[in-house]
Amino acid sequence: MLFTSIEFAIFLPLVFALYWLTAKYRKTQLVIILVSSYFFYAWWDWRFLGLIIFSSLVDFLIGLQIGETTSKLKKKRLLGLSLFTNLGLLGVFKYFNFFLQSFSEAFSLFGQNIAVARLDIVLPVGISFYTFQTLSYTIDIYRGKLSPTKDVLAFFSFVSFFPQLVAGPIERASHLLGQFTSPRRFDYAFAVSGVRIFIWGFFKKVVIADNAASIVDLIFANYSDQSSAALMFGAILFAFQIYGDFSGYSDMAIGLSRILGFDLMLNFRFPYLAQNINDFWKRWHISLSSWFRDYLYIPIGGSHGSSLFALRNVMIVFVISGFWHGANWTFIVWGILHGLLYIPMFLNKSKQNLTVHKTLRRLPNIFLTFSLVCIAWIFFRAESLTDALGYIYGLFTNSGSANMIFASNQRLLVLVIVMISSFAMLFLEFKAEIKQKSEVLLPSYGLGLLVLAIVFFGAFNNPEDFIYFQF
Amino acid sequence: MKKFVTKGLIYFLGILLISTLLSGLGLWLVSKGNFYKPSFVVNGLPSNSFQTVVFGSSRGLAALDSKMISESQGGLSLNLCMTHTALPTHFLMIKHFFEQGNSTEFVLLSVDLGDFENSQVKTGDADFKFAPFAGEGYVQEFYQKYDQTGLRVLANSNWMPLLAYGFYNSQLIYPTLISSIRPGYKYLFDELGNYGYPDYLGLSELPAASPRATSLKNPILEEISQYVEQKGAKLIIYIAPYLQEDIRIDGASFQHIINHSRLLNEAKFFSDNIHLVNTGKISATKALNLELAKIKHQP
Repeated sequence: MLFTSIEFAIFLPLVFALYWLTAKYRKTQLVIILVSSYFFYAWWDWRFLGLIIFSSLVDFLIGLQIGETTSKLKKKRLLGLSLFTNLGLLGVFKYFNFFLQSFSEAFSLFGQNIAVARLDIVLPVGISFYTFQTLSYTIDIYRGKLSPTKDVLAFFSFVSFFPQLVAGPIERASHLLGQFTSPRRFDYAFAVSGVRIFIWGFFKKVVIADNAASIVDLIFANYSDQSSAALMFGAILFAFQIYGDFSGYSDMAIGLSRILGFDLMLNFRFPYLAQNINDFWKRWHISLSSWFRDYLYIPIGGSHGSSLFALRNVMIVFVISGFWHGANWTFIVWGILHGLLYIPMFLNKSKQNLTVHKTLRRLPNIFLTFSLVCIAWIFFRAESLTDALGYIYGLFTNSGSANMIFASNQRLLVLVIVMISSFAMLFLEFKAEIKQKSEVLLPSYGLGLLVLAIVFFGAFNNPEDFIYFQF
Repeated sequence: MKKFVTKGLIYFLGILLISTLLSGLGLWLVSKGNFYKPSFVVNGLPSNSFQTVVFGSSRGLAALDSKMISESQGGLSLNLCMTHTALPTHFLMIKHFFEQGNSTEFVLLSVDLGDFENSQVKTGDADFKFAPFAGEGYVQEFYQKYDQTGLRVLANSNWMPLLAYGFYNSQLIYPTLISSIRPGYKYLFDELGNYGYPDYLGLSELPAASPRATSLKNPILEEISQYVEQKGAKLIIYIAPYLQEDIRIDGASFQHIINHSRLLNEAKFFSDNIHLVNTGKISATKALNLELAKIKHQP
């Protein structure tokens, strides 16, 4: 059930009404959240409900056990069990075929052909998100940063909370779980801010991302005969597509949560206004990058020790971050590229703290960073490394002559819609950043115009799944 | 919470009203132009009386030149074929043509492989082009029967234009803008409905053809036959040239059938597997003119 679907337009008001009509009864509210979240998840594939219930149950019980025991060894074993269970599920459902294939290909390099029997596994929607969310719970308890909850209903609702279940933000128990255990009261201003950010996210998804997708799909599928100009537009449009898609989802998730009285963490802070790659990673998918910082980078040593040691740790994080996105070498190379681009600024610590200039002086830096990000996105979007390299070759050599965008008036119109909408978005983000806001806040008439833009420019007959659902 | 719900409803209704008005205006503008063929039929035809009108999909559009037919047969001929359409939409276009007060001696229906035996009950990619005329009974009847989308955006567009306009916005905004500035503008067709296809394949050799037999049992064909007869016209079933299909028609009940599926034996005539380039179109139209002349002389 997509947030942009008719089904969700029926589902949400029902949940909203039931939820706030039972505001006096916290447990009843939690039951409503849990049942609606499971219903929401089962809409994709009811068979995977068992998986999320299993994952929730395991971490709930392990959390309690870790909290009760005083033995360090036992704590460590319990944490190991949580890691094994969660990462095991992820490994089987997401990476099994990849490892099998890579293993076979590695052997074939040495002249040994091994026949691999791939498993016909369907990737459960959002598994990478809720797995990391529940992992943070047990790790925080292990570290003594969090007390385990005994409220099973609250914990299960925390893991499956439908606004952010399938594509994040990846919440921390320390931030979100407490909101489930405490009573909620309807706050008008908070709910209105939720509606505003929801509409903003909806606009980014259906006007920018879904429209861009219709052109991006064509260009990436036929990259070999496309001109440099077409490939350049393809890469730029994909940059807007993935941002509109993913940040649009996050905004909608945050907005829906606010309407239900929950405050989710910020996931994007105007990443295309970043002045370098390091800055970009402070703004892009913040919930994941901070997760990797807290649960991977720091535990493996962080920036303590020699520069070489720190660089190693940085690269580990970027490679794993790339791999988290999907079982394909393209994602790994995407991660490595970002790691390599991250290193120069990482070493030059004096330039890491950037000031927000009100002037346009930072535009060249923004432009350069955006260009580098676009090139890296080609690896992210391509079906294979060969395709990605072929795309980049065509981009810089102008080896093709076709231009799928300019060959059709309709595509040209879609391009104009996407570019105007994207630049309007960046302009509003720029304005918000100058005012030191972390989200775009439009006045009522601006929101009205946004809704009209959604109605008249939204790609409703070309609906696309959210890209990050596959992760 | 009451305030939240009340204000939300007010904003929702306000936006709904504005969007509905804008959508209605947009569809009205499209209906007054010539951008798509359904509007062209209403506003842009050079005459109300024709000798031959070609109906069909992009195959009919690529295969037949109505100017050449006009020159050869006398009178005016017209090509009302539309890309991305199937037999149900062809029938709708036939009805649209006649119900808008036009007449023709011959209805030349170009039928494609997918419609020989039956047709899918769903709207096609080009059916939204009739949305400006959703108030017409025959368009409404078509939408009610074929629109299977969740919100039935086309079926409900006569009372809620926002649905059709919102759903097909990227296909309707450009025509709206153009129709408001240049109502006479025709999108990819000339004053007699023709459009030429570019060479996509660049084939040098004709691939082997696969034989197929059909008796043209699609019940819609029978409905069209009856309708055309009621309107005092003669129906000619036409099968345009295919690159790889060898169609044989056995036992069909229609009086006039022109099967040119294997008419052209050189790859250079084809734009792709199913469409002709201009040289192919000239050859196909010449061959059709010979057949039409024979039919005209039949009692």
